[in-house]
Amino acid sequence: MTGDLDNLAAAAAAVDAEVAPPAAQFVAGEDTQLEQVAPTAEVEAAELAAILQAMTSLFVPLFPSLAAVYTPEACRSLAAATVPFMRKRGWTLPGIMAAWAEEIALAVVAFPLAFATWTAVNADIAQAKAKADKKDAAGIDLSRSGSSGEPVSLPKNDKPAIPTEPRA
Amino acid sequence: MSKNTAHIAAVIGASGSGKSTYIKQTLRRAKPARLLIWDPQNEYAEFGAPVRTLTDMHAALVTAGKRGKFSMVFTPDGDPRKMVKQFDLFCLLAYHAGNLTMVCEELADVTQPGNAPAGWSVSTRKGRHAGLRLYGASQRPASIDKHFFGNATVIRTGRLNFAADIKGMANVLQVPEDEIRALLPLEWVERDMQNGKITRGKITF
Repeated sequence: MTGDLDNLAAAAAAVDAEVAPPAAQFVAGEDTQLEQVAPTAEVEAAELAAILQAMTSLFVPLFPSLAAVYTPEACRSLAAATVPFMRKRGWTLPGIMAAWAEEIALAVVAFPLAFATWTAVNADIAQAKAKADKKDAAGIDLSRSGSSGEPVSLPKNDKPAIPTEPRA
Repeated sequence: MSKNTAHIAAVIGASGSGKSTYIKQTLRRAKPARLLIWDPQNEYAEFGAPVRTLTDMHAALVTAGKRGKFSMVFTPDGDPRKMVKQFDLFCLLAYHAGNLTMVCEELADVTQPGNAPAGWSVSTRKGRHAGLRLYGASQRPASIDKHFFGNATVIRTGRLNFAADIKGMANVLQVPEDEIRALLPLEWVERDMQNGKITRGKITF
């Protein structure tokens, strides 16, 4: 029967997910029930602006130009315009953060890594290409010295050394 | 406790009749080592750790295994539809954990006369094989799962307010309706369903 109990973990998680979070918060160790107050639009906008600024500071080392675009003032304006849109759609900042917390955390870690990987790989490719070009150039010199079997077209200014008979 | 000795108690009574008091006195006296309480009214806090999610309850039961001790009080969500799902799984978890005392308050919120969640049904029908000792309470016997009375080993009623409930319980207990109608707060009539013995009394403190 313990096996059956183990199998109910997913069912428990599913039912918990269906049940909305409690409408009230409890303070550990106290019997007092605190009323949960919905944040005002201004508070929510300030929180969103802070998140945008935090995200900007995260990406500025990668894209320095973003610092001039996403200024604190620009973040506040964007947040103030976004909150009414979110409310019209029935979205809340805590709700979004709760629903996408794992994805956001993953993006914060993964995006800079992905960018660094892309930059590093590009640098490696460029270095390898430069090395290959250098090797090709060196190959031309070798053929001209006659040590290579590959046919090589000669530079235009070069003329064949044709032995000539001395004039009689 | 023998696994095959059923103890399924139906505890019925209007608000203030003393049914919760009876269950609490029983728990204080018995001190069950493994206890789960379905507590929609948040009135059993003294008997165990509050559990907010079924995931937490499941994890605690798995950790306890077959012999570990626990006392957990689960207060469900207020939404009736969600409450039924929670109750279904609450009972399934209790049944599969086994060897425990389970208290379920306000059965009329989560069962109907012609229908009961599968978890509750299996707990009342097969609970004895899993070592369940079950107390189910309701203010309105006419509104709860009828099969519960069929599986109960003990049925107790206190004062009732509605004629349909009085008539129903008189029929279940096989006592005159007038006797049920005349019950005062804290007075009770109980029938041992295994031998038909009727006992009467009044809760004292």
